[in-house]
Amino acid sequence: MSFASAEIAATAARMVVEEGLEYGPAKRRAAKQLGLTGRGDLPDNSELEEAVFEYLSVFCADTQPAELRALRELAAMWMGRLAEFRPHLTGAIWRGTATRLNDIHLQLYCDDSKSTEITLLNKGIAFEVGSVPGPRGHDVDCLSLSIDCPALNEAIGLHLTILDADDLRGALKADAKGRTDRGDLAALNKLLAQDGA
Amino acid sequence: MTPSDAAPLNKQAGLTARRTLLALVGLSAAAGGAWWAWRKQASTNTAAASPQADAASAPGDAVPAAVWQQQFDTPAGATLALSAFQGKPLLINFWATWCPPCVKEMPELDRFSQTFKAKGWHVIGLAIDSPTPVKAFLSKVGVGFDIGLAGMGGTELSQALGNDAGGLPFTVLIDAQGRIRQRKAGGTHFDELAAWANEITP
Repeated sequence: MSFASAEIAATAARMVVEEGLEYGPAKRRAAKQLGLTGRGDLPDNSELEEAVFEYLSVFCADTQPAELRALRELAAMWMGRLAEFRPHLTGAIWRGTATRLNDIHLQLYCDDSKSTEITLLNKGIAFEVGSVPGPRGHDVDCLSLSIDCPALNEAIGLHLTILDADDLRGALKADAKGRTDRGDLAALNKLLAQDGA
Repeated sequence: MTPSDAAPLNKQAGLTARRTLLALVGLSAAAGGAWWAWRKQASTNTAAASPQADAASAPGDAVPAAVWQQQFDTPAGATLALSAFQGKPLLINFWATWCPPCVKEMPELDRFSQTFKAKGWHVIGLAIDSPTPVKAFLSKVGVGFDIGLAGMGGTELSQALGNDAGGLPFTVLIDAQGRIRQRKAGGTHFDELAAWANEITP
C-alpha cells in the first residue's frame, strides 16, 4: 500500500466508524478531503477494513464488541423471521466492524422477487423500496425498514436486497484470507456462539 | 413475362400475405384476451358464490381435529394446550411483535377478553415470533389473556384455520361446537369482536 492510500484508508476508517459511512463513499470522501484525487491512490476494501479494525481497537475497544453483538443478535432474529427467503447477512455486521451507527444489510435469495414485499405488506410492515446495483449488471430492489433495537435503545435500519435464488451460486466463496462476504443464519449463530464463549 | 416484371408482382403478393397473417395474429390475440377476461370473471364469480371452495376452513366449518392437538409454551414457561379450550367459545389471534397492526390491536383484544370473560369466552394470542421479543413486549404491554409461543411454525397453523395468505394479524372466532364462525385477516377492533361474539352468545 502506498503512503497516499494508507493515508486515505486511515481517514476513511474514521469516517466508517464514527459516521457509519459505507466503504465506497468513505474512500472517496477521504481522498477528496486529503486532496489525493489520483484514482490509483484509493485503497481496496480489504486494506480499508484492516484500517477500520485498527481504528476500532484503538478508539472503541470498550463499546464496539457489545454493539456488534447486539446488532448480530437483532440480525439473527430478523433472519429467522425471513427464513423462507434464504437471508444472508452481509456488510459490517457480518464482517465484524459494525458499531451502533451501522445498518443491518441482508441479502435475500428469493424464488420470486416480489414475495418478500408481499409478505411484509401482509404483516402490515411499512418499508421503502429503493434500488441498488445488482450482481449481474442491472439494478435490483432493496427494501428498507426501520426496526427497533431494544438492546441499543434506538432504531436501526434494516435493508433487504432482493436477489435471485440463482445468485446464491458462488456467493459464499471465501476471499484470500478465508473469509466470506456473507453468511446465513447458521453461520451467524456460529459467530455468536464463538463470541460468547 | 421477364423476371424484372415478375419481381414487383411477387413482392406485392408477399405483402398481402403478410398483411393477412398480421390481421390473423391480431384477431387471435383479441380472442385470446377475451377468453382470458371471461375466464377471470368466471373464476371470481365462482369464488364469490362459494367462498368455501378453495379455503382450508371456511366460516361454519369445524376446526380441523389436528388443530386441537396443538400445544404451545407460554412466556412464563408453562404449557398451553388448545384441547383445554375445546367446547368453549374461543377467539384465537395470530400476532407478532414485529407486525405493527398486531401490536396496535392487543389492547382491543384485551378489552374483549375482559368484557366477555363473564359469558364464557376465552382469548388466546399465538405469537409467530421468538420467545425473547415476546417476553420483552409483554413486560411493557401487559395483557390479561393467554399467550402461546407458536414460533414460525404458527404460520402453518393459521393457514389450517383459513389464513391462505399467511398474513398477520389473523383472528378466528370459534363457537362452543368447535365451528369457525368468523375469520379476519388484518387488523380488528373491540366493536367488531363484540358484534361477532354477541351473535353467538347474546
